[in-house]
Amino acid sequence: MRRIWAVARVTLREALRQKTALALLVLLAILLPSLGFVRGDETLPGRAQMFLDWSLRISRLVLGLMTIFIACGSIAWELKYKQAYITLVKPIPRWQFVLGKWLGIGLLNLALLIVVGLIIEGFAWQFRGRPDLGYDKQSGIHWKLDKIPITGLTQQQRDVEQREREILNREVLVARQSLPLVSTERLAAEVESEFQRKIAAGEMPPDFTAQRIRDEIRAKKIYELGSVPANKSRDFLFTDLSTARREGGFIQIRYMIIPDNATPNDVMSYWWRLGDKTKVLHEDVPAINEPVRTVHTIRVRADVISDDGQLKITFVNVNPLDPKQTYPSDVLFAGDGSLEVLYPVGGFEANLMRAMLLLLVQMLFLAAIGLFASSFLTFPTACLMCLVVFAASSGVSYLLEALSWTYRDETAVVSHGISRVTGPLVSIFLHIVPDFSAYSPADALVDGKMVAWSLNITPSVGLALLDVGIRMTLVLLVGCWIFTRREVAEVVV
Amino acid sequence: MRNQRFTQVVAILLAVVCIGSASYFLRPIDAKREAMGLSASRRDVESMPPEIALPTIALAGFRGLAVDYFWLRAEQLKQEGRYYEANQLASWICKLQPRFPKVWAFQAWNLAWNISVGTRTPQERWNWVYNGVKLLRDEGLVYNPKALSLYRELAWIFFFKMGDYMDDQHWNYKRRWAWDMQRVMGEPPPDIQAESSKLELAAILESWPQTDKTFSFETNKTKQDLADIADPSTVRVVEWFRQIAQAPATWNELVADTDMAALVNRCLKAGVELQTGSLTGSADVNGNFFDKYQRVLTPTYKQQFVRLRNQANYTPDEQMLLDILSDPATKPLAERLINSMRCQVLRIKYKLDATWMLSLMERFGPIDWRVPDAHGMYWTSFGIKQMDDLNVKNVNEFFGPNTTLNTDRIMVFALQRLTTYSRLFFVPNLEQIDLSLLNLLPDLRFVAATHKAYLEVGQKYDPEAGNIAGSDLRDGHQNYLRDAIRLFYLYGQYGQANYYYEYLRVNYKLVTGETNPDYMLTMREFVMHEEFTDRLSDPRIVTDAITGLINQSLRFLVMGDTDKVNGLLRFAKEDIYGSYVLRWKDNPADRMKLPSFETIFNDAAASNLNTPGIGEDMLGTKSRMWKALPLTTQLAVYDGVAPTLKEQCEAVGVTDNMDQIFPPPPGMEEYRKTHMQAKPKEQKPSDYSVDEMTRKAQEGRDERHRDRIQREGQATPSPQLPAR
Repeated sequence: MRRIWAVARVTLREALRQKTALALLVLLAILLPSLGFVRGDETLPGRAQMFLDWSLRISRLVLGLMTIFIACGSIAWELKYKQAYITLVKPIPRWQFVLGKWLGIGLLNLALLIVVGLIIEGFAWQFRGRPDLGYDKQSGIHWKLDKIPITGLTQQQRDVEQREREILNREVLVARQSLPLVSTERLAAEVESEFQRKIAAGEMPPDFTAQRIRDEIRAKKIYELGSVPANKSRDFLFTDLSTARREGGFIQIRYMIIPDNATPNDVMSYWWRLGDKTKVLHEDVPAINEPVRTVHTIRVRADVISDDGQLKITFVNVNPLDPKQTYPSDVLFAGDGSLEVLYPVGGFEANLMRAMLLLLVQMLFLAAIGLFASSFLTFPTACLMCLVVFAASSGVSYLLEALSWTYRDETAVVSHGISRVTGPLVSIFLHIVPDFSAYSPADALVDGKMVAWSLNITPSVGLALLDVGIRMTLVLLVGCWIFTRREVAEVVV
Repeated sequence: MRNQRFTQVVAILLAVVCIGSASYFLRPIDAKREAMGLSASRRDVESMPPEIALPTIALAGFRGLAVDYFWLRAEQLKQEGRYYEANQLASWICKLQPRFPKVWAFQAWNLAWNISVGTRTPQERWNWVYNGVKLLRDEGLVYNPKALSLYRELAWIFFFKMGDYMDDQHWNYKRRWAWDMQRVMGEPPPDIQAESSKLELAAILESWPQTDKTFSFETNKTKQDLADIADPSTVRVVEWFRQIAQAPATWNELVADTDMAALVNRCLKAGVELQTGSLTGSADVNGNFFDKYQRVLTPTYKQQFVRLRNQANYTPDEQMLLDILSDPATKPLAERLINSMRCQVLRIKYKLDATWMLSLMERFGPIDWRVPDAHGMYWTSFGIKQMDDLNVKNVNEFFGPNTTLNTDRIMVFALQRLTTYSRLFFVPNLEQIDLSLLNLLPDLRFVAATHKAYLEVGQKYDPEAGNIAGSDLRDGHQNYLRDAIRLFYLYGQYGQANYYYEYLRVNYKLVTGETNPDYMLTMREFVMHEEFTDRLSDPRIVTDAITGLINQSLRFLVMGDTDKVNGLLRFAKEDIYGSYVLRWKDNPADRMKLPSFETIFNDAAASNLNTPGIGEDMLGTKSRMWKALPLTTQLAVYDGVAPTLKEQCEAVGVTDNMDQIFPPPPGMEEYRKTHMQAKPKEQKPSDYSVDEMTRKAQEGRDERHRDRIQREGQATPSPQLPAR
């Protein structure tokens, strides 16, 4: 372990001496604080959201590039300039040399992510209005939000600021859990189960491809799970909301209307009943001429949840102003984000820490890939390979979806020259690299959603450690094996 | 070795040829790129602010990629309902290609029209609409001052997003914009058009429906060109704005006068925030000056009540402003200072050129800048001005086909809109500005200018048109004048109604050269067209129509516009109420009878006074209404409205002043004694002498008919009895 630690320390020192890394860090040091002053949509929550989004994305990009350059250069340059000989002639196994390098790069990333986290927290504190820390026996240490002076020229401006701060603390600088109506996983599982049943029952139409049958089953399932015909209503029941009921305050309903038919001007009018009228207080929310295929949010008091933790949401597909004017189109709710309930479960600081851990896991993977590539490639080739992996892992879901669309159209496959050989190869590659977008903390933090430890909530630190961790270990093992077997110095006679 | 030398020589020669060819082609390619607007020229870059020049140069060829990324991200976030970045991304997209007007236009349209409707609260809606305005006004036009399409796009937002009735939240936009402008410019002087008119409210209520009194030809006036008669209220409003437009437009101009400099110094020492410090150490005029000192400079009713109770608690700087404005010695100078601040804030914050605003007012009339349509007109006309400055001969080739005709049409359209919806009745509610009291009423002072504009534009494109608006605009012109005539009649401005009716009859003849039979009717027939009168057979509809007219007249009563009050009430009583009684004279069924006109009026007045209060703003309005009501109405409704008004006075802490705010009508005790014993007898329609009304109506028609024959010297169709 001491030998690994010694290599790690040397790697850390070398990394800080690299001009490329320093240039990237200087860039980050300039960009991050500047982002705190972008205007966003000129509201306090909007500015905070934009800052969180861009600061996390830019940090990830800059640290990712830095990690790739350092990891690739670390072994490749040391071998090129023969500096590695000094270390490798010592009684240190090659695998410990590689592991030490990985640990060093990991430590550097850890230190930098702590700095990034502190900068983000600093701006969050600023956005909140610079509250004091207080201590309360029940809730422990917390920000004294009610003591912050509200500034503004007129009473109206002060009221706006007060409202914006409330929204900021309730919807952005918080950790909220999301409860979807139908998760993508559940939908995929039900589609697969029905597909297998059809195969077993011999109900597969002979002319249809498997993909087409799956698509049809999916469309049917979506309709079954979340369709509401015109002039009708439908109840959707959300359970396990006892925590939200207990905590009180506000919850949010986020939804996206997908009409079955094209609607004039792409708007629809309908209304919601939130809460079970027979059990609890309920609230009716009309929506007049709201754009379809766009996410909308309703904020409502947690009182609409019944004591047993259930929330009944009724969607009424009727024009609240004039039922005769109801547009004759079914409405669909399906997949992530179509209809979900959000409720607070924790604070922002712990969430930010978990978000930083997610970034660290990604950086560690990139370090492993960089070391693996440089164990047998030269610096430029290794960098190129790592950049491809970085780009692919950042857009796995987008690329897989794009690829699946290409396959659907037989003529497109031929006309675009994507052969049946290269397609599956790309697909295999995309399945090998981890899907970083599934572990992106930016989307979660911007929406005030929780970055969880547990495996069943996305994004999850636990899942990232498991998924990325396994791939990273494999990559490191292969890298160590290659480097151990590599002839680093040729005997020249 | 020789081979190597040969290779080197060939390579050098090749390099020289390549560089030479590149140099030869580079200049024309660059020229073409610049001509087509594909790259920023050195001149462009030098004139750009650093936040644009830096990415333009630094990104070089990657500028397009960055734009693509931002564009994709903006669309993706829009679909996800995440709007927090939309404004910033739009700004970045535009700034990366600052000389591309279509990008600015698209992004502004996206913010104002698409994203705004995706949000729910009034504040959010307004923010997005105004973000669209700001993107064009504060940035797009700065980099593209000659782009006519951007002016038109900006005007479009004012006309249709804010000024029209298409958006669910249009009242919210109108209220916020009205308050924004009122806060900076103050309230324009009262726009009462005919100061000499006496309020005939009591007389009208007491009179019997007499349809013959509603019409009289003022032949002398018809011979004059009424378009050239300056309305006193127009002059007053224009003069009021002239004080702002001609005030010192810059800080240096302001302090050039020694007395003014002394006053400014006095204010600055007292902490009045006339200026804001900038990063460079110099000072700029404080763009938020009127936000900060709103309760001193444009106090709402509520703040006036607070001041009345001596509970205002002014800060020292506010007190200073108040002192210099109320001290007769410093008042003129202080007013000039405030007007200069208005002029400068209009320019700095709203990018409005007060001189151009004044020139529009001088040309077209008393434009109320609190109305969004007025700004639609401003930006359209400002765009045309820029085009004129450009001195482009072939405008249509340069800006696209029909550019001039379309922009001229927009100007006429703007004037039409000002006629229909630019008279403001506005009581701001600062606690929730979207709940302010706002009504947009017709402003007939723009009819003359619009009529003139129709003729000018029509003749510009059809020089043979004569005294009409040419082939392109003739239908629009006639429709506009028909509406205007009805409004003039409704508001009791019969002379103007006659003038334009006569114009239509004389100038807009049929293709055969004969007079259009539509214009051969009597004025009353013309106004009370079948489309309108056929609906007035149901007592509920008639009562609703009358109540609506009374409500409108009560608003004019608060504004002090007696002409409108008289005209509206006369129309309600003599034309609508009277026609109804005539229509049902042979069918005295109780179910078809109406209450007396006075009862309907009293009910409407009581209903307005009993409106649930939204604070002192509403109370101030009610007080003005109460004081202007005739004694008979006050006596009839006092006991019914006093408890509500008392509650509302209590709510704002002015119970002690209730008798000043709502003075009890004299003779109330006497009235109570007589009316408590014997309940007031409802004046039934049967009380009216229907026969007498029929006779008077008939006489009136005959008289008017004779009058027309005398004037035109020709026979007209025989008079007919009103349709039943």
